[in-house]
Amino acid sequence: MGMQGNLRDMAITDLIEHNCQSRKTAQLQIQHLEHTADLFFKDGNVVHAVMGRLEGEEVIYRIINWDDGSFNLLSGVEAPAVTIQAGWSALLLEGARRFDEGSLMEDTTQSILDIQSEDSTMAPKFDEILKEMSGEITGFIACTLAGMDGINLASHTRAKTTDAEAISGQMTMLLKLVDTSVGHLGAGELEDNLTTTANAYILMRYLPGKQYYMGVAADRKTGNLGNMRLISKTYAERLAKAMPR
Amino acid sequence: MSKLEQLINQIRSELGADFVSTDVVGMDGLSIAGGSISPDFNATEASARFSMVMKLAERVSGKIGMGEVEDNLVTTDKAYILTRFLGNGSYYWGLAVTRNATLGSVRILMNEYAEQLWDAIPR
Repeated sequence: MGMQGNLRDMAITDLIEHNCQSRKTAQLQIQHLEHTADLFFKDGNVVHAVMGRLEGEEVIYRIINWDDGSFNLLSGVEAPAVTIQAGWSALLLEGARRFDEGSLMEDTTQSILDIQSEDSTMAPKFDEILKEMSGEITGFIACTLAGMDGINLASHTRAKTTDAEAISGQMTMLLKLVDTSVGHLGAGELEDNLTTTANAYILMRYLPGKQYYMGVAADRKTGNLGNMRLISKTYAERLAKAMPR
Repeated sequence: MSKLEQLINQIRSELGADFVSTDVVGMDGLSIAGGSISPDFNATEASARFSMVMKLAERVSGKIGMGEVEDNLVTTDKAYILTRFLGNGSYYWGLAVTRNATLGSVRILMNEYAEQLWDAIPR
């Protein structure tokens, strides 16, 4: 028993996220032009991937941009090997980062990136922008750039123990609920949401287009709300400009 | 007029032209007092939706270790919508003001009235 479909209807990132979050044991066969890739899921992660002679994480990074082709999910199929150690969200993050830097190239004659303008040179790294922003926010704790699918694109934290990916997922849920509520009430277009807690100020701000947002957390005692809102607004614009076109 | 309704009227008066709507809402999503400048504003729906927002904010904050939620501020191109837990968190106070409002002043006003509203809730 499985599922079949077309990559135009469901992106590879969505397929990976869905099968990992539902903790399936399954084989995902993906066909794109003359290439076939097989991904194997177990216990909430991608544990093996193979495409021709290529195995492991590199397969994910090569196929992540495929937007045309077919897929076939075979439930219950065990992986023949374990060649991937990274968690699924880390794989998608790295894939997105490599895609942004333009370092992914298919081993076919078709180019992955469709260059449309003179400004399509490599975008500045998001994490560098976030790191720069962190230096300007009083009482900075953490910041993250994430898609509305909850996937973390980049993050910067004061403490290495802060789990930016978990934060992104949780923040995305809240932002979606707030946006839906505001929309239903006819209260206008959501710009940002600020939650004040006992320990922190947590600000979420959409980037233009509302496909991505920036989340910032600052210490409640040492942070400054006005500073946080102003700086985050400025850097949201920078992050938006850094998005690949 | 109940004490709660008196306080609501005072808040409306202090905010003047910046006032849009306010409600004191149980965490079941039901408003126990409030008012709006617009008869078209669906206060019932707003109360229910923002009780969900506050509950989710509380859950999210707990999961990421940021402590108990005190308040939430939504900024849209038309309004500021502030929601603040009252007392032991069994109620929240929602306040919508225009974008012309001075946000700092509104937050100070909420600080001043939050405890009074909590004390005025029939228990």
